[in-house]
Amino acid sequence: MILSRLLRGSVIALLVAALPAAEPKVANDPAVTMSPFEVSAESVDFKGWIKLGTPHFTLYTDAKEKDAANVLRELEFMRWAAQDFMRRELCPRAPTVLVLPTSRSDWRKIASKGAMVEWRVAMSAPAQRITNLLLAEYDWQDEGLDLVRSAFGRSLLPAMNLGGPFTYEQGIGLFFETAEIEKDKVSFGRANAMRVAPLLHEGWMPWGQFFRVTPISEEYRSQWKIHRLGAQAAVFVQYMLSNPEPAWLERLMDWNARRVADADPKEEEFKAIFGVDWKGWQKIMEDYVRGGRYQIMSIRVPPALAAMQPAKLELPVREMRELFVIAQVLNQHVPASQAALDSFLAKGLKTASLRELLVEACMRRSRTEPKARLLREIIAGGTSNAAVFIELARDVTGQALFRPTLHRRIGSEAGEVRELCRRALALDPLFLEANHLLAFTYAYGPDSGPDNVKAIEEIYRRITGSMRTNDVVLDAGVAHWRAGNVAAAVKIAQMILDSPYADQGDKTIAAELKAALAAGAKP
Amino acid sequence: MIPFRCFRIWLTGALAAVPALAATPSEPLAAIDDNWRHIRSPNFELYTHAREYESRTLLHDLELLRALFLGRFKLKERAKLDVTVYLFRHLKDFHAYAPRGMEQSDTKGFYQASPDRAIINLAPIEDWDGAQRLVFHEYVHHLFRITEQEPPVWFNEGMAELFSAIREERGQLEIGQPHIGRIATLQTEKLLPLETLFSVAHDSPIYRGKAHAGIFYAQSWALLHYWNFGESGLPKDGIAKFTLVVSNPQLVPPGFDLRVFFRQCFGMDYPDMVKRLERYVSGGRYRFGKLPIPEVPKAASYAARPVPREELRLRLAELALRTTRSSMGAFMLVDAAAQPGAEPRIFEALGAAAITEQDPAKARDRWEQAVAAGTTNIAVLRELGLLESREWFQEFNHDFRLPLASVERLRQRLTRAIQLEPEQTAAYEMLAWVEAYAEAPLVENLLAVQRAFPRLKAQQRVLLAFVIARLRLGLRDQAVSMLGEFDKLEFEEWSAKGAEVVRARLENRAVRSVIAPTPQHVSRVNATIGGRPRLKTPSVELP
Repeated sequence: MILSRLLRGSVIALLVAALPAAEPKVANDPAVTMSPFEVSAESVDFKGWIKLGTPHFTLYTDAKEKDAANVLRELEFMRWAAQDFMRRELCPRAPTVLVLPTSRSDWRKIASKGAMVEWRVAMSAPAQRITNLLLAEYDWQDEGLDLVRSAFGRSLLPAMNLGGPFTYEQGIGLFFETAEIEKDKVSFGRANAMRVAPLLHEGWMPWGQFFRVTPISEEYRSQWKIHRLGAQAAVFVQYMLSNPEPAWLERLMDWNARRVADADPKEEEFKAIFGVDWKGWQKIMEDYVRGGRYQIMSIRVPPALAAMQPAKLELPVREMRELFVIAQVLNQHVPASQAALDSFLAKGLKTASLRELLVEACMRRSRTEPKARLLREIIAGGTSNAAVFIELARDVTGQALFRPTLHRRIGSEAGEVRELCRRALALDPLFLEANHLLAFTYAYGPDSGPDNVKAIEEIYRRITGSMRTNDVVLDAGVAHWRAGNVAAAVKIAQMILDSPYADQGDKTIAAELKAALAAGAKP
Repeated sequence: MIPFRCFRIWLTGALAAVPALAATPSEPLAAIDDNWRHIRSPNFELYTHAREYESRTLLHDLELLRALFLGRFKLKERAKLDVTVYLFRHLKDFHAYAPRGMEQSDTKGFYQASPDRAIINLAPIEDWDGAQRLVFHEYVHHLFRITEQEPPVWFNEGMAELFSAIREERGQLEIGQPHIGRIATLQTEKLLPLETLFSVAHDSPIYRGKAHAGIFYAQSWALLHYWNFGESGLPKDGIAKFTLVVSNPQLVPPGFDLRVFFRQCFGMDYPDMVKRLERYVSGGRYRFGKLPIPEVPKAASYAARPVPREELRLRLAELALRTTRSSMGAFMLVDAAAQPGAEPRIFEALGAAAITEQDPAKARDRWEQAVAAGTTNIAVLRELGLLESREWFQEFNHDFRLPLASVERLRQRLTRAIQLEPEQTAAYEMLAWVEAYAEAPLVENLLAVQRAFPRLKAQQRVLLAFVIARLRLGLRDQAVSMLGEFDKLEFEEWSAKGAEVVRARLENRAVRSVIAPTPQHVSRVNATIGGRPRLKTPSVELP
């Protein structure tokens, strides 16, 4: 069976190779078309693959069921415990899809075939907007689950509205690597000697430079510098998270909020928050690493979680094949990805549970219309995934959302956007984008007046303390201006201009608002 | 109160004339002789081996503390717990009835609470200040407990420290005399940030560990002292408002931000208050307050009698069992319990010991025996009702019916507990469920619970009981209407799941899973996760 498929595949490949630059196929040709990724997927049966489900994960793997169940149990424990040490509840999210091929699996074999592969990663998280996909492509059974934990830990931050600068998020992921799981307990904070070693051998990055690093910085892209960056991020975050004094984490949040607003880290600002300048901080960090004393936090999980058993779900081979193809589309920026996506969009997915991943693939490959269509289909079919509503709402809102100008407007589509936001908020009242987008519609929609101001203030009260509010506060300022409340609008504009938590886009609009108010300009 | 240092000089001379004491070889426990007296004040009983004057003074001081605390906070006793005080003449006797290891420390007194009774055990009064501070400190926690108050840990400890230093002076009560040990700590250690202080919970490392515990207690005391007695210039109504909110977290609406409220009350942020506090504790000048002495019966009016040996043996056996889990104490009580006409107190103590051994079934048996023997201990009646109720009501079962005999017994027990202690909450909550699961709910009992509803703690749970009771009574529309009010109350998973089962039955559909409401329904004043406050994201504030 497999041989005949291989033969068929190779026959097709030969036919394609043999053809001269030929006329396009006739539209009503009944021939089956398959993209290269699909061909690869069809060439294997994914034998031995299982699908396990827990409340927050769906795991695909060809490992033994017992090992797979342990992985899920660990991740569920860590998910629970993250709420404890980050001191924030996790908002409801679609279950994370986790794909863990073993080193001998057919997935690894077909994924590594030749020129179709752009570049290899050990661990990828290529889908994060409406669902979360984590794909391990290293030998996790021999090398351990650290990379999985790290990627998973970082993926939790948006669900807690605790995203932040790049180095902080890296540090959070590495903190998750310190997890040790026992029967009903998770402990974090052990010394991660391998991670910290580069600091001892290669020295530390100056802190001003460290805080400026982004994903495109040399320090992250250079193969040897990345380890030093990781080590420094790990130590920095571990010191804050595992410090018995809760105030340290709060200081970190303050620093993060300022960095998100203004990427340029200032030493005097650092000193005002942490009480020491960079030199003093360097000493604290060196003492921490050299001293070898690490505070271990142990968190006991509830009995129901400790006793949880994953459910084994049905896994048709069709589903595995579609999953494989979508994973390649998400990860590989090559023509074959476009071809695979076109094929799926034309034929439709057979596996309904993978639709959200297909939407992610559309986003990744900039397929706006198919994406919107798919989102509407998912909504019409019933979904409890708030992100689906918001992704559609963003599409409907269009480019106005991204223009940093006082005079951006949205038209009658505001009604649909508000309805989508409300449906998202009914599922997850602390969904950051839903709240921000809803406030945006009240500030820049076709209507204005005191009710709009009130609506924005209600949004503010709901989110304050749980996420950044600068956008919403600025929206309130704009709404006040449009409602004729000049004094309130002036006050807010100035607050935004003076605030260290407002970013450049906000300040641009605030400056425009202030100027418009000063000139007596009408909205 | 009298200055005991002066009193001791007089006392020493008098003691010299008293024959030396020793446990007689035939007695199984220490300190048993014929020189004990029993003194009863309105809210305490005292078994004393010491002089009557100082014994009466001790009781009087405790009565004053109680009256002052309840009056100051306008609190009512809701979960009464009898308090027995033991005052020893000899230090070695005190140690014989103290937990292991106490002889190595300098502790001269301790407080211990069991479900049926609280014990205060005191060594000879040489260092009255130290002993008083300790006992009064713990007794303030007792008062918070019996009034069913659950203030944040810092406030609980700070108030306990503040009230531990009251003394009578020239017809007034002085409160807030500085605690030298605490001042020393404050002057030598770094103060905790207020966000840290306010967020400490019972399982926080700061509270449980030795490293920061000293500064935590000291700073909790100092902050309250500064607000109440320091010449701070802080707005008095701001202090009052903030204190009211932190001492009554149940009053706080969802979405409340304590730090913002702090700024509104005091006109400054946390770091500024800490700076002020630093200046205060290093200033060396500490005022204290003077209050009118609450009206309590005079010490001379307390009834006193000698304690017969037989009674003393049982009381000290009880004490030994409670405080040291003494096998001799247990043996003596078990032996006494087997005698005809055994007094109820024996069974009360044995029941408490069973709870310590995590054997609720045995505790129930013993407390049933106490009831049969005629106990008047309200706590025993209450605990018995709760124990049995918990067994029946652990799992929600829409179709469950309590056996008639259990209904009658629980009704009788719980209504009696309510008669004796009308301000309590637990018995009302359980009574609601007894009626919910009774074949024929009693309307008068339901009405009694309804009248108490506004001050009950587990309101969602009680509301569910009302719904079920109404369905039993055939009042379907009322039940549905009550279910509609369910989500307005504080979420509790057990009740929410039960309500969903009821709704599913009424709507003839499958039961759906219940999801806890998302964060904005949770009050953020004391919202803690893992014993620490919920992490806030700093951002721009709307004016």
